[in-house]
Amino acid sequence: MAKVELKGITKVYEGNVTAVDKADIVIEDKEFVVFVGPSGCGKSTTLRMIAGLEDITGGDLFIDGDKVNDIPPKDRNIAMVFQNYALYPHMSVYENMAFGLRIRKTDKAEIDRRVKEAARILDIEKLLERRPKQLSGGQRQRVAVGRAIVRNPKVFLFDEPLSNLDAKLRVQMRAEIIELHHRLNATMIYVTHDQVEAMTMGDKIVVMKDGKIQQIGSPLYLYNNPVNKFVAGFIGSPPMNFLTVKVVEEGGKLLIDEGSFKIQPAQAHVSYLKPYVGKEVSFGIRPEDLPCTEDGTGGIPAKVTVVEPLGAEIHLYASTPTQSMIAKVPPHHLFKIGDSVRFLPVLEKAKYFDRETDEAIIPADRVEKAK
Amino acid sequence: MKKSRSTGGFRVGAALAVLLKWIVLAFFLAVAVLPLLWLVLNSFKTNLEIQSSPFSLPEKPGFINYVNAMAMADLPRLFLNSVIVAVGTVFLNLLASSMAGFVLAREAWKGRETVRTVLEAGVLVPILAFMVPYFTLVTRLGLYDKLFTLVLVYAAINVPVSIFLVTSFMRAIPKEMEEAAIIDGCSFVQRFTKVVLPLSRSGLVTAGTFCFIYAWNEFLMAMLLTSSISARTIQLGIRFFTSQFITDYAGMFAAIVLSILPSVLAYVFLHNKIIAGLTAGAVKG
Repeated sequence: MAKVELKGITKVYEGNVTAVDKADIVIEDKEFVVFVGPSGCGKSTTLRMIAGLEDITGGDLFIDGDKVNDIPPKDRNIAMVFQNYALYPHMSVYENMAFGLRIRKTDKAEIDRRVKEAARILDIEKLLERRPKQLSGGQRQRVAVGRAIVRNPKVFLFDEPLSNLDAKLRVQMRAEIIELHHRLNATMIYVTHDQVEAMTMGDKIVVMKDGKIQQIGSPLYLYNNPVNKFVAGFIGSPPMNFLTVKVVEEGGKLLIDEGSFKIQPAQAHVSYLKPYVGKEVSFGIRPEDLPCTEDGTGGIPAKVTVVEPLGAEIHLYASTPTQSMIAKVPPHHLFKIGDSVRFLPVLEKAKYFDRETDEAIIPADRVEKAK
Repeated sequence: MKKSRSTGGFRVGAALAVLLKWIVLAFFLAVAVLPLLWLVLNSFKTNLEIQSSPFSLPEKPGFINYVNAMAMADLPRLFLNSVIVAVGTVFLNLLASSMAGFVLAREAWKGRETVRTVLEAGVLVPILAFMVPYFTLVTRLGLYDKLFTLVLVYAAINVPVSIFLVTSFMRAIPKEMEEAAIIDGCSFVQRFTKVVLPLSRSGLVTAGTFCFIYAWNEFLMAMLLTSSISARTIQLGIRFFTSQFITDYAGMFAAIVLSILPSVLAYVFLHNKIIAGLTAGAVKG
């Protein structure tokens, strides 16, 4: 297996459109890395450059220490699973899986052994004689993964492989790919726009936006230490709440003032917020850090606008006179639309972002330091 | 009450519309099929019957006209020539248009659209306009009166249509299919032969069928570019039934029926693929 290194990788399309801008990523051997971001952020382009399906405009790409910028895809020893499976419809499942090995003139007995072994791992032994059109979406995806496994590549690349599956199958396949990673102990790079997939599957997540890498780190690191408002809002479901507040000083105390409420930030955050006295900042708080009460004083007073009971929890949409937010509350709370509630935010977990730059006021590492 | 009257009116209108539709369809069917039926019926009559009662059924139906036609006009030889020309044309045309279609549909290069437009614009040029240039070219190259010449000319004349059909079909193949082949280690040629070509089968069958029907039925170029029986096709053989003073209609009709059989059979057996080829890319696959 292999280490993949991207050093200042850039992709500029005709018409001077920059799809990927100086991407620096180190993917360690046997690591499962997820590129995540909204449509058009450059994640698939980055993956395709690693695969060799797109030319690299600038920067260097290394696989296992070898520079591979000009090496054709077939000689990079990578395998790729595509979003629409890309199985050859005129071949059986067996032939689809064996195709890459046949092209490489691998011994027939060896091909047979590898195809059957991969089929056993993926539980598709009974489907080997079928054509792709005779398979369900999940089965096709397994065959596409099988086609990658038989090649025994240095790096597995997955380009949104689960987006064409229904929600239930997606969860099942997600677990199967994680299990496969543990089983094969292979370097895997996975592209998705679904932050839940990114959080649940990746050892490391690369968050991208507009062709630029926003932050790289483990799922929990990114969740707890977002480097900017974009990462904070993108990672986590439901997303983090952002309220525009003003930092004020009253009676020697630093407060954040929303207009309808004033609260005192956590002691650990005060020194970071001092330079912002008199200025507006974005106050970020995750839905699960907004416990609520129906009476009392302090906290954030709000009115319930939508109640979403999910069984295990309730998603409560509420708003102050000017701003809205969402909270995750336990299922025993019985709220109705229009009820007055009071949120008591866990201020130690709150985030603050500069209103002009959207950068986190309490600094976080753009690339998480290795433990 | 009002409601039921309006429903009744609607029903009558709908029934009339259906009736009108069937009348129009029946008219076009008659226009298309009756001449063919007339031809087949008359191929079983004697010359006297054809001239005295052209629209009656044959009095004593038999295959004597077919036997005579085969013997008189060296039809088997001409039939074989037509087979050689039609099959050769299809092979050569598909070889050229599939390769051209591949680079036009799947490869990105400067000027691709211009080249494609120029090639496909060939459809708009009337074949008559090619007669003098082809005759000059063929005689100068010493290719006059050769079967291979007909193959070459027919294949070339059909290139624009075939490229149009094959390119449309190849364009509809998902890009990822070819990218998967690249990752699997396919070279440029292998991508064409092992992935794109097999997946374009319907398009190729459509183009091939059109090409076959054209080559089989072509008369003008065969007349122009050949002179001996060894290089002539069955369509020219039909002329042998007409002399200065007399025409053997019965034999000619039998020969025509024999000559159109392969085209009809080609369409009957391949029409599903032809329709698939013609509608390639029309709907999301």
